[in-house]
Amino acid sequence: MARNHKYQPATLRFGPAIKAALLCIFFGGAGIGYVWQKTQIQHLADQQKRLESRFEELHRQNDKLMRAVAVLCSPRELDERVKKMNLGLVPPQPDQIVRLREVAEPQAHPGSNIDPRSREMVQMYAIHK
Amino acid sequence: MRHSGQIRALWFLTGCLGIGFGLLGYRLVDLQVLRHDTLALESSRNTERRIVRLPRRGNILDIKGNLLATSKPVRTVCADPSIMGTNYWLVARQLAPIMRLDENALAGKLQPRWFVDEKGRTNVDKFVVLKRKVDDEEWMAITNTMEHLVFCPDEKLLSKTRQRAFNQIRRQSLITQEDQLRVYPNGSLAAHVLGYVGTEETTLTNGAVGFQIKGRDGIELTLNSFLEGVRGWRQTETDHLDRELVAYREQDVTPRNGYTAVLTIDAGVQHIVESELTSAWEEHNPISVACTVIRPATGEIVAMANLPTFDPNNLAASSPEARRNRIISDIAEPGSTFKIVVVSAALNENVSRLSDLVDCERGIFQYAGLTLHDAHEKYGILSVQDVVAKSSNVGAAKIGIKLGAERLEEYMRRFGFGESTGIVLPGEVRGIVHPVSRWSKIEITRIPMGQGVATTPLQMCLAMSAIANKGVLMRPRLVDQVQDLDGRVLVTYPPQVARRVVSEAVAQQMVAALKAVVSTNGTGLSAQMDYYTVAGKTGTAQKAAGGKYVSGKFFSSFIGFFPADNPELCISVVFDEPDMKKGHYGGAIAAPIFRRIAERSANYLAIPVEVMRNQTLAVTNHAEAD
Repeated sequence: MARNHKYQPATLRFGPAIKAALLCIFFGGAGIGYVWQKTQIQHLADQQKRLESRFEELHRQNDKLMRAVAVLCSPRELDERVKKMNLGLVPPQPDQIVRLREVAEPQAHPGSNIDPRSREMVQMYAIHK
Repeated sequence: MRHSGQIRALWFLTGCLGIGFGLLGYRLVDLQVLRHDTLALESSRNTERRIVRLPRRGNILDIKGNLLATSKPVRTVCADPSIMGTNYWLVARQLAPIMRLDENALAGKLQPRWFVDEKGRTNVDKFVVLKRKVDDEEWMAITNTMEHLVFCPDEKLLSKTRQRAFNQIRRQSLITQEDQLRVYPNGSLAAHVLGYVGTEETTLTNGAVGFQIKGRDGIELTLNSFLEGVRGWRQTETDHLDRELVAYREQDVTPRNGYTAVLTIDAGVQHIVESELTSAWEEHNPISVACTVIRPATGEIVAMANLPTFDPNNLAASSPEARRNRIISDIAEPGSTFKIVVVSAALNENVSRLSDLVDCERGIFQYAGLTLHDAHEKYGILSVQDVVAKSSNVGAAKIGIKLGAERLEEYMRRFGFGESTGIVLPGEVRGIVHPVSRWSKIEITRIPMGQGVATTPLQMCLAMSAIANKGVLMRPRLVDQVQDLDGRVLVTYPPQVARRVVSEAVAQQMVAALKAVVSTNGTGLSAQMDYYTVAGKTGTAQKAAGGKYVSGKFFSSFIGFFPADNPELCISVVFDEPDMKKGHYGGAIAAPIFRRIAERSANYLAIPVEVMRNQTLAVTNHAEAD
């Protein structure tokens, strides 16, 4: 019975249909995949170009700012600004400068919790005194 | 009949199609096989590009990291005159004021030109350089103007072809090439040390010519290999508007930008020196004035300045005279500052002691048929220390005679005269030190007072630094280190000892003698500072021309160091032909400039003071000590 049923002309043959469908899906998928991949490459290339331009732009801005800082910090520029603004700024004379000597780190008593940074504060206090 | 007619028609159509396909096939074979090589080459020429990517030239910094020289990205603006047609006048009129170019000259460049190539074909010129070193702001103004060019009141009424032609002019007629401009943010500051750059033609993209920056003088030249970097390239394709198609980029090698050179120059001290030289220039009106500031212990050059000077940002406005670094390229007789050599040599050879007495013959000394005079006063018997302090020519000549010619020449060479100092600047000269065999009879009396020998100001300053540095001559150090772009140190240049010139004890004795120069007893009192002891030597040398001395023309100099017993800085100030109305002696002209530079530099560098204001400077009298 089964054998006869197999060769019935009106019966739908799923095997070849699935094969054909799979082939179609494969080729269709490959085609779409190819196009998608190409689109992605183009998209990434555009992105890369944008980022490169941005990077270059930022680099240029950075350079520009660096040059501006250099000009503003140049001794000649500072001198001219001091004169122009009439601030009366002059370098301190040697006898107006207080020099602090680096002192040895104080021996902390056992159990004391003196912060070594307090040395700096002591020195600052010394200046005010 | 109808059937056979249909068949004929069918055959006819088949034939036509066959012929059509045959022709197409032939065309295909022609394009793909027969003319493949030519067309493939043309195709690649149209789309493929090998773009040379020029590196950015490295920065030059001072010892504190201040920017002394840097590079600014700019563009070279070029045009394609072939698409201008008859509109070049209109474009030139609009662009000339923005590009700051002459309208007629610009129109001449934009006008289409035809030329006949070597194969006899007529071609139109498609590339012309309009302007170089165009910065971003200017380029934005140019592109903005081009986009809004108006060729006629209502373009919409024109034909599509004309509209397209106008749009092509707006968008495609101007192209740019990347370039860079060397910028010196401090203008003329340390111009003779930094030097300047020039441009050199180089092949950039598919044979197109571009320009590359090369050092031409100063540090820019000597460190060019570090500063210029290494080129990169990009193998890629472009569209019909010559825009890069990044997706088809095959190779992309990033250029390695130039390294950063860190100099020993301190911009603050350099500014102090240059501002003081400028005021001295206005006061004394010399041909030139030069100053060198050296740290004796390391040989570091902290400042080096010449007047007249130039602005490397605007090289065209300067003369070759102004661009010359006279400190290393000009030689002259040093005058009395050279007495330090003969006295040091005599002390080192135990020929004399500072306390020994010398008869200065009341300022007139006959030797080998010629008369030698003292310049300042007529001295009788002086100690060797006083010979230095009072700068007696007769005394120095007698010490020289006692020392002997061979030993004098040996010590001159030990102090570095007659040889290159080894500074990393181009154009250094060695000076003139004749061998003893070529000396005339009177040379032994002339050389001790700084005649018959020619030195550069740098050599003299280094010789004085050797005395300040306990008798050890250092090589001049101008470059501290070379860094990469991330600030990592690639090369450091440590201090280099050239040789020991005199013993430490002799150097100490010389310091004592040189301290006496800067006292009421000496010729360099004007160099005395409020807070530091100074040791130094004045010098006044008559200028020579045509084999004889010219009256009224002098080199006036002062070389000194401070604090005398623990020297931080050695400063040399040299005037070439100062105005005679205000004196010509080194002690009167150069010493006050030394003092002003030294005081401001000491303040700026926070050099600990030795003595307080109004305290008398105690000059050690070595003769008494002996």
